[in-house]
Amino acid sequence: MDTNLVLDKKRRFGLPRFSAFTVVIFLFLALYALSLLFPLGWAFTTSCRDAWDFNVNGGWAWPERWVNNYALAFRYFVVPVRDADGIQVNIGIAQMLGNSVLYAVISAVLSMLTSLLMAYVSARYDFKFCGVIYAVVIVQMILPIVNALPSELKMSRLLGIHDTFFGLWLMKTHVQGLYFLLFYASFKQISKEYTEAARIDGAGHFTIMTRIIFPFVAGTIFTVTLLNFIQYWNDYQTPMMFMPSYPPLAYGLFHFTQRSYELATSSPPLQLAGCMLMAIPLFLLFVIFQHKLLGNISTGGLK
Amino acid sequence: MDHITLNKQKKFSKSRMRSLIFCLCVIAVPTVQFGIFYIGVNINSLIMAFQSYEIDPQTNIGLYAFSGFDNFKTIWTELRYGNELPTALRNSFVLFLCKVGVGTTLALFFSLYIFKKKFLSKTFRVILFAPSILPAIVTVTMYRYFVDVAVPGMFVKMNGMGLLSNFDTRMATLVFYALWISFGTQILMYSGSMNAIDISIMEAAKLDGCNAFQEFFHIVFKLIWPTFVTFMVTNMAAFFIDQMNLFSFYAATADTRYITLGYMLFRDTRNSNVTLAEFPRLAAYSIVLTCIAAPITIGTRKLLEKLGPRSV
Repeated sequence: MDTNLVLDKKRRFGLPRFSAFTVVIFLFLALYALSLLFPLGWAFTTSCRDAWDFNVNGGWAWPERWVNNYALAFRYFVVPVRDADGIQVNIGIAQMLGNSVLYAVISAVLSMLTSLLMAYVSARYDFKFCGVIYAVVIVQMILPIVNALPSELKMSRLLGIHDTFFGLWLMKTHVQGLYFLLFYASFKQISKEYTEAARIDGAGHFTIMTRIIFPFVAGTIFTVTLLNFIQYWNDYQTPMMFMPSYPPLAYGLFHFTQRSYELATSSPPLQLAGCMLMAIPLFLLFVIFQHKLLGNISTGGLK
Repeated sequence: MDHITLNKQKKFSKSRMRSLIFCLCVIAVPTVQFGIFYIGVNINSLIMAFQSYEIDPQTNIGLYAFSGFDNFKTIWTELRYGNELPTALRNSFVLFLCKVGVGTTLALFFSLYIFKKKFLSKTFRVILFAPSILPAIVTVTMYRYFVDVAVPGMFVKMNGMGLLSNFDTRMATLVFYALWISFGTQILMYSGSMNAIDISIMEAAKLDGCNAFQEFFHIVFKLIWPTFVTFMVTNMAAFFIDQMNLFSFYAATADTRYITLGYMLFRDTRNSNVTLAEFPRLAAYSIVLTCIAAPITIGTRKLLEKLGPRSV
């Protein structure tokens, strides 16, 4: 009786009931959060320290004086490339920003569009090749082609699209298996009656696709585009291999942090300042669109 | 009557033809792209695997020439007598085991916590996803200095030796980092799949006296099995291409004791991107590893389908 009363009181006052299993998961999550936030705080404090202060007083001292390493990192953020005549030129942060925008925005949209359109045809039409599309995407997902990079590089040179934006965009116009499945499942769930009703009203295939069906998956379209954008914005390896004359910001950061042989940029506070500088735009993007990014997206199995 | 039927057929076939033309227009560009960058690239890879790159002494121009199975013999020699390939295979295996055993297990439990909307679950969801949005170089640089400078400052026993500087702890530190940043997409997908579970099933189980652990294994895990299979299959494929972020940590100069297959292949491709001389050997690697990866991945899927609670 007493126990029941206590339990009732707990419920009334909204005290959460935790099982041992939940407590263990909570502890792991809390540890994880700490392991992420603590180094982030440390990195930010260190990024405001003087190189001399860092070397003499060690990694844990509070900054003797707050230094603006950010302006310095901004200045040293250059990547040397060879132009068409073989002469070395320095690419600055503004040009790298432009390269990043061109690469990430257009590639993100093209990748999303490809997955979206292929999934639409595959899910909404009953031609034989619609089933083939689905099967090919699944086979591509479960049959990995390991290290196709040398062949891709040779092919892009053969086609004359190496070191061009067009070449890179063309390469990114491919179906992404996971997102294809996501769109496919969404399209399958939409009733065929919408299509039939629109057809009776005289709507064509394109109108049905863009004005009737796509609005149903508008949220998923936005989330996939955003996830693609983040992926391409952070990608430095693909531009490094396929577009060496047009380095994006991500490659600039890679170059900046690997220049430990240069005295000017080898100090940890300066390198961390460069990193913080590059993290700010994405952090802001995350804050603005976190509800869209962390929305409810799910995918089924590989049937 | 016949006239009406014929008219109907004509009308039907016209509308069907319109649908067909529309579909073909929609899939045209992706299909051409697939033809060039998937089929073409793989055929080219197959051809290159049987070639070697030689410089013509007269014209001084590099050419690809047929060389039979020479590249495959080189790979066999590297596997038997070399140091890098066996080490890369072993490290890739260690990374794979940790990612599947520890990473996936934690991701499933974390997703369950978020799905059940427990204490601070929204905050944890944001925190777990955060590393996925930051550039790899940012998290790598932050982590590198933290474990090599800040952590030794906390523990006197470490004698100022960082976790990455110390050869004994480097591998574990690199694997830990790979796990540490890997939760984002998994959490998003698993918790998304869990959200599709009918709450009444969970409530019925609770009334039957099911505890949280039983609820997870007997209800949630079974209902998200298709998503789990998808991730296991992609994990399997990642065994051969996972770089363990080594290129972001060390560029092309990572110690050979800690390299993975993915890193080794990427580093070699990058190093020979100018001369192209190593491309045939790397293409042969591509063929050999694909031949190994394909049956393993398909087998894993079949096995999971059999083991699973229902056909997926």
